[in-house]
Amino acid sequence: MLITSVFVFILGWLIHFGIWRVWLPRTQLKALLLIFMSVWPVGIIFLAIRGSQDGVLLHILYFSALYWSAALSYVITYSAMEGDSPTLSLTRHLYRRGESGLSHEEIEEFFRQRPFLGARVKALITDNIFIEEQGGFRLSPGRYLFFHTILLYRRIVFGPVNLGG
Amino acid sequence: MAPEWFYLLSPILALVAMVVVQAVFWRLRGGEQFYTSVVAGFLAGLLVAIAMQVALLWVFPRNFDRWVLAFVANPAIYVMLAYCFFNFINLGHASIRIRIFKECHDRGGFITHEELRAVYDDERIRDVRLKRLLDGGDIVKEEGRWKLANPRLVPVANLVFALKYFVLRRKSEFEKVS
Repeated sequence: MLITSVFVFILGWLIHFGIWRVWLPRTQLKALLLIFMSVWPVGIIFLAIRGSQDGVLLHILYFSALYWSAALSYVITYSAMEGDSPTLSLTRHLYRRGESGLSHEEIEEFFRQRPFLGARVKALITDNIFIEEQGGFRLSPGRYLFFHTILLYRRIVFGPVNLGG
Repeated sequence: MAPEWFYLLSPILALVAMVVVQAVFWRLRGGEQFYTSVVAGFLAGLLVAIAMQVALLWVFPRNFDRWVLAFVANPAIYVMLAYCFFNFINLGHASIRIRIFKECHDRGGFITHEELRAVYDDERIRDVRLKRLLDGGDIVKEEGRWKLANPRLVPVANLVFALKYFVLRRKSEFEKVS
């Protein structure tokens, strides 16, 4: 079951890596989730056919827990790879500058070269969450459960969202 | 409940402990020390996972093979779930996309360019990040120059950049894919 999880995850990752080599999907996170979702039954079928003294269902559940925790961890890491993190980019830049550091003007220039807000708005448009209209942006019809869950949890545990970013 | 199901419960209970301890720690500290609260939550979850593992061996001594399997799988599942949880709360804390979404949603689903610029712009992103790094002790300002004080984020940044280059063949989203 452990080995099955590792193999099926690697299989999913290799498919993703191969596809990305020839063609970069427009909505990359959705495509990535779709790949991991499609590969998942391979492990389930394999475990069901092989059978087990301990009970097939337990093995399938264990496999699914391992597989999906790994797949979701990778998808989350991928979202950090897809777009640059301002914090990590700046930290790396400061590290490279060593003891001399950066003046405030150089920091300003660093952020001018990296328009994070525009890049994220563009990503929202690419993901069909925002529709660009005359004078602004309209939210596409949808329930956005993931976004609302994050915001609800933030409100309950951390208080009002007034800083962010 | 059959004994085998308790093995699978272990990482889930550990995650619940992490969620509760992180939230309580954050509240008790008056909304300060975000990363410390995450570490406290993670360690609490790890303790629960270890305690469950010991308890399972105690309660079901005949199922040693299954216990060994759980001993390997459960910590791995817990660590990955903890990583997902950390990123989930960090999204609410630091994600630019979530913040823009919220601003638009709060205005009935439409936000003008001016409204967006008024509540959120690149200068604000820069200032918030600088303040967060400064408050966290990661950077300092000495004689008018910003310097790295604690390199703890550097390995994370290097790993993400290395993965980005390996998978996407680019060093930054602000340059074209080569």
